[in-house]
Amino acid sequence: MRVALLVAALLALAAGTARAYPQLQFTTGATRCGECHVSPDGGGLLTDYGRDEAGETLSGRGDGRLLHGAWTPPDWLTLGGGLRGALGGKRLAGEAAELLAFPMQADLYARVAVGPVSLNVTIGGNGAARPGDGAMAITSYLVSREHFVAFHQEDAPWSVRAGRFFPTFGLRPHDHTAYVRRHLDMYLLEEPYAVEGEYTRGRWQAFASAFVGNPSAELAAGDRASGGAASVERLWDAGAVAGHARAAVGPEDRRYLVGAVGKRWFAGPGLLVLAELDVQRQRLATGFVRYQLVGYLGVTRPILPGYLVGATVQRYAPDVSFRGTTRNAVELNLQAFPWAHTELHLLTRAEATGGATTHPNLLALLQLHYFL
Amino acid sequence: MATLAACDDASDRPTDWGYVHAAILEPSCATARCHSKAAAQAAVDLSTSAAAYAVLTGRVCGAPPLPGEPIGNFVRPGHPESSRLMYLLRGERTTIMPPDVPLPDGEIAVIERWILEGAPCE
Repeated sequence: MRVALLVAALLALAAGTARAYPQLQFTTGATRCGECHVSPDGGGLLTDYGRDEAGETLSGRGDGRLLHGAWTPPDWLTLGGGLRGALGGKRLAGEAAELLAFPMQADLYARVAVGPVSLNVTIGGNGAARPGDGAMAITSYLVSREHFVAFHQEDAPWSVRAGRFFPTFGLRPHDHTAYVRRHLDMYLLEEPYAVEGEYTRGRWQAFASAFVGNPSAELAAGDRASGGAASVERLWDAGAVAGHARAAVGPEDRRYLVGAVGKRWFAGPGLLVLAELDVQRQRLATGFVRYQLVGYLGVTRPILPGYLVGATVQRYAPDVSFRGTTRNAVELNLQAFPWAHTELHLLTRAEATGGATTHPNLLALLQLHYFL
Repeated sequence: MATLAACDDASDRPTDWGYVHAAILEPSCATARCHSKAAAQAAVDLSTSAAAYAVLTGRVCGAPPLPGEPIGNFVRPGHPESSRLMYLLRGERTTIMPPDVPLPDGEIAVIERWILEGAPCE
């Protein structure tokens, strides 16, 4: 009965986000996402090294292994999961303050590997599901945001995968409301189906992908465009620079994106700077053309073990020549990792719409996060 | 830097439905938990041009209105002052939409002009 209640509770939650924390790159010694995560683009399942880092370096207390080390799965099986909920409040300009309390994420991750081939699946509650006129199948309440088959021979410099996932480019922060995700087709349930190749050699890492929109309108969101993306990153001793491009053709528009990412770790003051700038040309089916801009600049001060303190400024211009339509946001983040597997994340954000800065929209969220 | 030089206003933007949906409504409203086809909060699906036009105006794009055909719940063509959509976007006497980040005034002005011009679908 307890198990049934737990499952029911999990299903009531919403599939959220499973991306990595890019602010952990360089600050803990890892230089590639794939050192701590099974997937080379970061996010989702952790490697053994990633679990050790989560327990020892990040939290400083507890056992980062699956189920706190109570059970070790066989070598061919990797499991994980994430639960996240939030409490807080918001106040939109000119509106009364509103209290918030909602589930954010309930995901289970699994990877089954046979030699160089692996099947990777993420399953979570579908927060978008709603009762229809008739009885709904259980599959309406479950969603798999990511599922793909990957091929990677040990020590080989390349890998390929095919299935449902976001094409790899940009900073890819875990917060899906970050402008570089929200406005670049990496929002909730916007994962397309894709084929992607990855190549790593020395200080270089490159990704190239082709994607098509998810054919199921019940299990996806966004405009479900098709196209291709590519990114190249070069590391140096304390940072990285990357460039990327994407073309996406949807039923109502064509978008062509170019962007750049910079990451720099300043060991002296202990500061990590992350930046991304994207410019996109959008041509609507009606022939109208506009240019869009998305920018992200973040500074993180790790106080390890136990804390990350950070600030970001973000800018989104849906039409750079249309006066008064730009969104600007300033964020302060405090992340505490009191014990292995646990995180408390206080996010505060002031956001101004249309250039008005005197009465910004305010948001404060305390997120409670536990990963298996 | 480019945004610093922004000089166009709402009157410089098209008021055709193709622009209103693809440039404003779809990216701002048809998100996974709001007005995507799957979520369709308040039975409003804004995910495609055809679905959004039908739910907002009560008409099928391309089909002539039938005699006595009821107007949509949200848009009264030619009359933004009595169109529910405008009240929702401005948060007047109701919860503002979108509830997370309201639309900028310029985009609301484009939608208002589209309604004022009869809310055409072409």
